[in-house]
Amino acid sequence: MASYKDRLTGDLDRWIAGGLVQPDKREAILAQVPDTRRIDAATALAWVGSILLGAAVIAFVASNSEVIPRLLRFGLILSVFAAAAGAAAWMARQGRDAVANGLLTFAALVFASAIGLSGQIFDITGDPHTALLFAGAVALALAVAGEASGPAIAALLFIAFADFTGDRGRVFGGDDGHLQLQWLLLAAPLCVAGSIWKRSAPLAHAAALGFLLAVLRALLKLDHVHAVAFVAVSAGLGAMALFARRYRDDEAIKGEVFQGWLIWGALAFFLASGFDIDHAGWKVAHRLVWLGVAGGLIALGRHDRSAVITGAGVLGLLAAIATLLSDLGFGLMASAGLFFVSAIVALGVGLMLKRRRAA
Amino acid sequence: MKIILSVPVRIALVAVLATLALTGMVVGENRARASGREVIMTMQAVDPRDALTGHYVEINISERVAPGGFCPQERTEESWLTLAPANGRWHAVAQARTRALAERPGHIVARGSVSCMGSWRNEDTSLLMTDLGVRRFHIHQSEAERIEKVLRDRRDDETAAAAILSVGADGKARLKGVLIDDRRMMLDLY
Repeated sequence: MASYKDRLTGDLDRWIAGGLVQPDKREAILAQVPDTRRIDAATALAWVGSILLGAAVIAFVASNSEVIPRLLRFGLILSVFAAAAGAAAWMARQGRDAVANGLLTFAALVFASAIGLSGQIFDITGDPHTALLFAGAVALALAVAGEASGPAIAALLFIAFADFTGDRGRVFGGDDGHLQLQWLLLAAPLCVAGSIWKRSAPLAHAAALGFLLAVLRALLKLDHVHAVAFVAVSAGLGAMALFARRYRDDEAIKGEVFQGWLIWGALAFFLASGFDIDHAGWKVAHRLVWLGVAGGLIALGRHDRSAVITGAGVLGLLAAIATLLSDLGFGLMASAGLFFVSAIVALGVGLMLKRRRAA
Repeated sequence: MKIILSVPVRIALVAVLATLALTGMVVGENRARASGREVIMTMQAVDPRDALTGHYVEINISERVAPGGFCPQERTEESWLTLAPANGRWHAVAQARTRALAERPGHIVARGSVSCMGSWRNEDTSLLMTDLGVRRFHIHQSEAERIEKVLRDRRDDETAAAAILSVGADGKARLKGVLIDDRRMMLDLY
């Protein structure tokens, strides 16, 4: 997909050709828009290679070989971590930020493995939740220290696993004296800020997804989860998506990324709210709103030229239709027939419109 | 005076602190293991062949209980267990919600849970399973094969295998090793 700068370059050249903009202003206008960073094949392969190297080291140490004493195995895995961090520091000093980012990610993964392997090497029984949080905290610290997005993504992964494996306590409040904070609710917004600061699209995606998972986890931790809660969350995410839409063309803030995830999240939570509705009237209202929202998303997606939003609308519409058919008690054959007729109608109308435009 | 650290220095600082934290955790656990009270508890003779993927032995602390012995009808949540010595081994004899209620003179208290079920081998006894949070013993392949042979040859002998644990002042049980056919196999750093 072309970046905003690529699209602006094309538009600018057309405006200059049309005499709307002076040619000597071209470079000055393009200089106002930051370049979109892309990863080339060599860098991508270097990332893959570093991850595979880490996996090789971990598997070797975990092999429980008789040749290597326990202390030496522990020292070996820590040495790999220290070497990776040291190399990252050196690369950062040389100004090679992309390499430093990869090495810091590798170091974060190795440290997480070191925690697990320490438990195996020394037969230390531990709480997986605590171990994952420890790994996430170190990864986050490396991300902040190195101003790197890779370890931040690793941190989100570890913290998400920690939140979903820990089942003591509630979000806010005690359960038999146990209080468990949902750390992803803190880490995800922090990483959102980090993605904006470092203009990192991968981190923006990970942070947005992490935020949605944090909201879902918090919702599931409530004593009684009703449809109203899901609808309220859906509305909240929709409002946030509207806010993010204001920055959808801002490459630095990655507004389009956040808008897309928030829209998908809002739609998913609204869909999920429908499973808890028994009252016939409310169910009809829910389906009608669902159809309206799906249609609205299709229209919005076409207006903003956003495939992500259009896709959400189309999928939402298909799901709405399928659910309605299920509500009405239609069997699979009847549903197939109805979809076929609808498809013929849609294609026919589309063909007629195209011919009218051509004429 | 405001001190701004450069990126390389910050990375190095985080790496050093993380290494110290992990090393401290390992040292602390080993010290707690060394300073705790040693208890030997009968380990059921599970077939290690299935459990030895990745070279470890499943620790399953369980023993037969005679009628009238400690045998809770339902599996308990984690609570405080009272361990009592008898015939060179330690056995779970009671449980309580608080440490104070579980403590008795000459006994050891540890965090854990128990469950009890009828033994398929003997209708007159039940099987008491004690979960102290210790589940695996990582071991070299050659030793694993030896254990497998011993357990296979002495399948009906309850004294064939035992877990050697260290119960610390915090009530947490840590694995020190296993006792197989009267031979100790200990977790050493070297």
